[in-house]
Amino acid sequence: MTSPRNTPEDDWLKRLELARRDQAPEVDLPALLRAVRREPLPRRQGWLDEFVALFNPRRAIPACAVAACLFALTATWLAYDWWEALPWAAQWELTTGGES
Amino acid sequence: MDQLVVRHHAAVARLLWRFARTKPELDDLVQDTFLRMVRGLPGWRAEQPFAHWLLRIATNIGRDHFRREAVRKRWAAEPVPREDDDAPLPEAVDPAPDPAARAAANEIKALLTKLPPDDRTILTLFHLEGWGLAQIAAQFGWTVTATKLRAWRARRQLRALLSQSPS
Repeated sequence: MTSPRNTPEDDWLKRLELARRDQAPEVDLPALLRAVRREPLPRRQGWLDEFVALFNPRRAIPACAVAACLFALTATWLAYDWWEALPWAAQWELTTGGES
Repeated sequence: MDQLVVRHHAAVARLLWRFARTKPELDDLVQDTFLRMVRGLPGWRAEQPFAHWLLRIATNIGRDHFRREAVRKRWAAEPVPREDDDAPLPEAVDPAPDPAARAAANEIKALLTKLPPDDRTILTLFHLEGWGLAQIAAQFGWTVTATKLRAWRARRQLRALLSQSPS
């Protein structure tokens, strides 16, 4: 029989005290060890792994293609930009005979 | 690796038992913890005690378990039988060394299922494991103030539940 001063919180505290004494059942250790052994060990990532990842074939081919296109674009642009100067250069070469 | 498992499995199980309600559930949670440990080993820094790091993984697994349960409960067309308040553990398969303690723990765990998962996690660690709020805050990367506020709200909710409960 509970006394009139027994509030729900008092009961709760008593239950808590009792509940804290509850012990966990035994874990199935052999099954746990089997599961852990099946899990592949991840490799520690070093600078070499990062370097290889950066230049792996999947990325390297598109990266080379993009770089080649950029180079071609820049080179063509410069040649187009300077083509007007070329006749002057030829004229200068003719007058001086190629001597500076 | 085996040595790590053998050495730490009891501590991990003891902590996760506060989150689990049946033995198969406990086995799953412990296994998840050790699998996450294996995957996370390259990220472990030697200056951090290994046991602390492992228990941090375990508490996160416990919290994720509560979150999954909450989602299941929200979306399940019918209530999950395991969440029936009076569902007893299969004692024949899993005899408790102290049946009164087991009964009290089950009762408390059942009551805490009515709280949101993070509140449930805080109160589980605070009441059943006896952790301080600062320790809980550090565990989950929360601020102490936010944790205190959350714990206060959770306890208020719990008090309301206790006043509604028949016992």
